[in-house]
Amino acid sequence: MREKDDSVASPPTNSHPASGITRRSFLKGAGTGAAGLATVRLSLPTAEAEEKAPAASVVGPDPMAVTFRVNGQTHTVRLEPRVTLADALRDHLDLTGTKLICDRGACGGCTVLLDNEPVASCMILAITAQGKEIRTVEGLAQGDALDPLQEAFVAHDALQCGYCTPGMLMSCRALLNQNPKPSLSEIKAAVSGNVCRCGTYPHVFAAVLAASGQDPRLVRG
Amino acid sequence: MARDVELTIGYDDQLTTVKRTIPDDEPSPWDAKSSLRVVGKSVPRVDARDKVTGKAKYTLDLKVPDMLYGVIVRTPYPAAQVRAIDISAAEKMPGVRAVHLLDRKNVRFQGHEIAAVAAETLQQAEDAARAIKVEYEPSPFVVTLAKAMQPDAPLVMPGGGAAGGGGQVKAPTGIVPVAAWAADEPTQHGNVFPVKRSLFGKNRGDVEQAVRTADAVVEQEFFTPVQTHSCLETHAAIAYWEPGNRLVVYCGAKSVTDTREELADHFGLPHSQVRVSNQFIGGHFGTKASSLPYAAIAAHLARKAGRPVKIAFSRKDEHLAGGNRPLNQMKVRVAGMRDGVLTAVEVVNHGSAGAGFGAGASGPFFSIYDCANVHATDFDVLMNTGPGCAFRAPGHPQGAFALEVAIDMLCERLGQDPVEFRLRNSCDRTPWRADELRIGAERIGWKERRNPQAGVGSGPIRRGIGVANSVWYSVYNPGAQVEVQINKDGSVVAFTSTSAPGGGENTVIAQAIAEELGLDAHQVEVRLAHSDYPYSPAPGGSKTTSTVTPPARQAAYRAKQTLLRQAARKLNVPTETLSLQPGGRVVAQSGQTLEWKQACTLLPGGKTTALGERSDDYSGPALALPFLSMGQDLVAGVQFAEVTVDERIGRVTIEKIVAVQDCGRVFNPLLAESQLQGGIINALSFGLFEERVMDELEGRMLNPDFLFYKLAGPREMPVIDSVLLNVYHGQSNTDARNLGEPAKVATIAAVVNAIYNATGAWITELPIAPVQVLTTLEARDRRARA
Repeated sequence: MREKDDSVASPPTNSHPASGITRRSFLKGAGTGAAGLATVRLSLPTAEAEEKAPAASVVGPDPMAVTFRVNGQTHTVRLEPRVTLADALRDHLDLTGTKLICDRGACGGCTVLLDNEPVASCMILAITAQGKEIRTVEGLAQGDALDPLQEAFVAHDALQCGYCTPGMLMSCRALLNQNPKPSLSEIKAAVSGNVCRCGTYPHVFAAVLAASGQDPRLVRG
Repeated sequence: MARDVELTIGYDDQLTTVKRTIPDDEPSPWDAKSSLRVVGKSVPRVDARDKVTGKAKYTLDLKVPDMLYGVIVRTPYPAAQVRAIDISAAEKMPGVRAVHLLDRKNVRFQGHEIAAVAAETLQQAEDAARAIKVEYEPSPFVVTLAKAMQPDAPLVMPGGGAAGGGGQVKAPTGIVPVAAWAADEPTQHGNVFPVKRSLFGKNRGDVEQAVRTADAVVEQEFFTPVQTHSCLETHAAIAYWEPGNRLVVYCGAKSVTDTREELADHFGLPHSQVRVSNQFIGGHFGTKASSLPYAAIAAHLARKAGRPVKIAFSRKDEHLAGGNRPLNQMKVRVAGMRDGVLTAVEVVNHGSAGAGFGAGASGPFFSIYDCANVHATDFDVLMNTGPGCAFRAPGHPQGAFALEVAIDMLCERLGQDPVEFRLRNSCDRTPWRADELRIGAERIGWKERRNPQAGVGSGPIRRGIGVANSVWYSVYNPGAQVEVQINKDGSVVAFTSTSAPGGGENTVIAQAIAEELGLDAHQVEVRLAHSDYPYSPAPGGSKTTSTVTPPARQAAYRAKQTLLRQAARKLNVPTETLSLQPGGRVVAQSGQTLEWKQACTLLPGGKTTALGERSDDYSGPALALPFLSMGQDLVAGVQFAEVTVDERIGRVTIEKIVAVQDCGRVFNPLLAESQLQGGIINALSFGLFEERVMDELEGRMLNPDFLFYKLAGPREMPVIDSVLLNVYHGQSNTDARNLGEPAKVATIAAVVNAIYNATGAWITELPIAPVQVLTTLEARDRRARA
């Protein structure tokens, strides 16, 4: 689970194994909280623990080579360590399906799957995503064949302007991966961190019900 | 040339025949009896695939080669004089390629633009923006309505006539008065401007006389806060200059033609030398009308740097300067007779669009009830806050909240059932409203499930049911054009300049064309939002389907004539004996046929192009203005709400909304349902959660983010039961009307009336936050004890 995932798989890192938490994993936890599926169990490191922690290798501020696995492909790009995963995807890999909307982990627009967990990519530094499988909305379809969830979004018109749609899809995909037949309230919980300004929520619920082989009319009570 | 046709109009089984005179080369209008194959069907959105795969490119997603990033420097002060600006340090920062200073001596709201900088990366531009030193002389300011209305309040726009003066005040550059008609030659009193006339109606009858003779009179003040648009895609623009002094701009402008003119005028260029376009818009809801100053700033920076520049608002910028729904304080008076007749409706509204105009809320007061005596007065009050602009049904959710709650208060005094009262008083101009009220009452269980007496019951959780009316107008733009091109390979493309912010604009155009040509909607490609395309207006006023589907159909009809002429020559039969059948097959009365693609190969030069134009409504407009026309008919809707109230903690839960809505011909039930639900949800968000909170001491917004500015989310969703009613008017060749705005008008009033039914307490101030509910319940309990 995420909360145990407190060190990054490859350098650079300044994790503190003693405290079991890093600033970045806290950031991640906060971000996934916004994505609605987190079971975040966090204790903040004390100043004392920070001081006692072994000196970490320092990276940045200059750009550095970072290697990602995104949608099954490996990419190496040069970026500053302060760049978030959302910015890295959008600006460095041109994967602009992932949307940056509030930039504070409060809207779910930038939700991607990190080792199959939904996270707010605006709350994660890109360098900490190294060594993990990243899946974005561009990775849902297999060639021309849409993911059944995407098909259901189209059929049930679970989108209007479309700007929240990638984040919605990723939160819903994560839900269905873990829970192939979610109840309506489980669906609402799964997307509770995803904001839609057009007000398309009921059609999103209907699409997820349909994609999981259930009656979309359950939305109507 | 014109010809007469007979059309069947009406709704349900209330159908009649009318004679209309229509332009000569207009296809026979679809009426209530038309049997259609594509129109009226739940066709999936034509751009859905791009949106679910992440391929859709919004302005914020676009990059052009060599692009620089621009950042706007905004003032932190609500009011100040700009003394000096020092850019020397910023100019020397790494990566900086251009600095632009706005000609701004006074700032009037937090977030007002001062300067801008362009650099190689966004981070460098942000660093440089921070290094620009602005020396301000802060001035007195007002950010609350009460203070702004005081006679000795600091003037938000001094120089436009002092208190009591009669000078004309113009909004500062970049602020588009939502209602320019509202503020012409105003007589100013301090910050208060009377609005001379409303777009939505005129005073009628004698309210004072009616009030004197009424059996019951309700007088009540209502307040609604500022709602920001909070489009998920913030305002953004990319600008660059082509050789020959041509300006190219990508921006999420809802009207690319208006934006083209605005920018051309700003730079003193012929309109033809500016090109504005976008591919996708992440919502606008009324804002994204003006490109000033942000797109112009991008163009200034691009000219200085000799490279493209992109500017994007941050979420904070969007809250401060991206437009908003004005706040309103409405003093309402309604009067009626014991026999259930509404005799007087009056409102005095003081609204504030901050440092802008257009805070009227009188529309519902003029338009919902057939009442003989109506008087509505709007005042615009200026404040040192970000300027308001059009927002989904300007003034109407606020006005309907105040009016429809006051009406229920009156029903209570008169001992009238709110549904019966509405049947009696609001169904003359819109008789189908009676159907809507009956349908809705049945679906919510009005008779069986509503508390016969408000607030009866015991225990902490109270349940109640309420109703409210909505109204909108038949808005359209005559002269709007759509071009249809049929190509040799059978492909069909339509071009028009309106944009597609999510209302299904491109889908309904494709449907109208596909119906005419015998094709499927997905065989028609629709290209929008480019200023070189034929003109059609911005989505706004809920008029796009009504405005663009008739010329789309007409253009397809005209292109079809060319195709059939070619086919007739090939088959050696008269053109009149040919028709296009499903699949685009050309069928002659002789029995000969040509497949669609075969026929298309006959087109001379490999393609044919035809232009369609939106005629006036066949019966003519009720109101014709330069920027829109209104047809003779109103759009009516009714909503019912079922709520529970936890009296211990003041929490209101919306259990169910039943919405019954007219939108003319329902073009696409699936997409229409999305839009209807979207309007309801936006209204719930406005009524229950949203509020711009201003710090009175500093004059700044305290919640310019999505953490403390709360939008309705998935967990707050009620069950929404929506019913769309086809109402045919016989006014255009498609007879489409509109939906986006009427969907948002009634919801909050229905909720508040339901809360009264649950608790016996009236909410008169939004948002309906727990503190508001608890305060209201406490007042109820005090009254009960007294």
